[in-house]
Amino acid sequence: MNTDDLMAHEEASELLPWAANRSLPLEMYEAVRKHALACVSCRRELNQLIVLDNNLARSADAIVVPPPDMRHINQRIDAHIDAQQRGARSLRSIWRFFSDPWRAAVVVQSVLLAVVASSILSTKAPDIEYTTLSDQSVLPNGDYIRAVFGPDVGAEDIDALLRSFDLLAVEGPSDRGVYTLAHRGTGPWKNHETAARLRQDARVLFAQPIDAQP
Amino acid sequence: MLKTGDTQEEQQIELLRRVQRGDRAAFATLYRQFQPRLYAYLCRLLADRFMVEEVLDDVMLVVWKDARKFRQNSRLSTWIFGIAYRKALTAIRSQQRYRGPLAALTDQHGGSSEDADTGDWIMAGLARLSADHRQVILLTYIAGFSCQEIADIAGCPLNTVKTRMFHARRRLRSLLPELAGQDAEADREHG
Repeated sequence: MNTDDLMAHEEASELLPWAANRSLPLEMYEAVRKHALACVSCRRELNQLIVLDNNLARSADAIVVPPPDMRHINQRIDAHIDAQQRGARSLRSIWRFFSDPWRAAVVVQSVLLAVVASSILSTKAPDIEYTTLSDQSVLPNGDYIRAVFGPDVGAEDIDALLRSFDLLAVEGPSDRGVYTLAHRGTGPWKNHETAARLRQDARVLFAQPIDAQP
Repeated sequence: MLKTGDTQEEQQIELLRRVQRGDRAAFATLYRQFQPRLYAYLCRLLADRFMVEEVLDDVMLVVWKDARKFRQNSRLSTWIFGIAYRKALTAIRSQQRYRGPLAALTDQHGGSSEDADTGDWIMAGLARLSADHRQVILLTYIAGFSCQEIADIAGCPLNTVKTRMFHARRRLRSLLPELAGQDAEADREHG
């Protein structure tokens, strides 16, 4: 037998259960069978799976299947059809109700009035106290750093850390926890170098320099 | 010999088309054709005969309600067994404890006592598999599906089916000698 034509052992081994139940396409079945003829372990496994197939088939045949009794399923189908027809009748009666333009106008106006009244009368939710490290001014064009801090690093620690680098947060944190940082002083500064030093700190998860637009 | 059944498949699809139009007679024919296979499959999964019948009716009710959803991108039996697979899993999870397959209690083996023992061991071994592993074995050997059809039924990739079968085979191999050993010991004790 030419071993080059034989199916690979792993592939044949995986397909043995479906060779045993004879559900493989003919070509694949023949390839598995050829491999099993040449491979002791696959041949043994295939024989065991055929025994399993025969036993399970025999046990399935031995199961006493009661004759089909469709009374219960028919009742459930009847109930399902009734529910569908009731739903269709409800929709038709709603459609008939609204087919009268005056009735439809009264209902629509009532709904709108209710919406307007509830929005006026509902109490305003109290302002949530919000603290941020960022300066609220609009950001001018310049060099910045975008940074993310560890989840356990509190606002005071972040502030202290930024002061140590001579930085301040001018924007953020965003929904994803991103701060935009700028230099406290005036004039040019080395944001790339500062970002690299920030990344050395264990409290900083992420620091990326953002250069000014030309 | 490999399985065919295109004529039967065509007939069943024609029945389903009539079910889509609300034909109760066509539905009754389809029910009678699928009931034995579904019953045998569900019996190996669920411990309670009443639950088997209830789940079987649940499956066929879905066939009635969702007949229009069958797109003919698989065999009809694959589609119906896919519904049975999911309903059975839900039923298994709702049972507090899997008490073992009903058929182990009600089977009437016509063969030799040696065959009966092997069958009992296999059933006992199956009962100890996880639901997913048991499903793969039953869909292969009770329902006779191919690997791709089982993937379609279970809604998982082909390799997942092969992996589950690999683990099921390995588990059964380790369980069956153990069960045979328990049986031999019980025989010795009872003389």
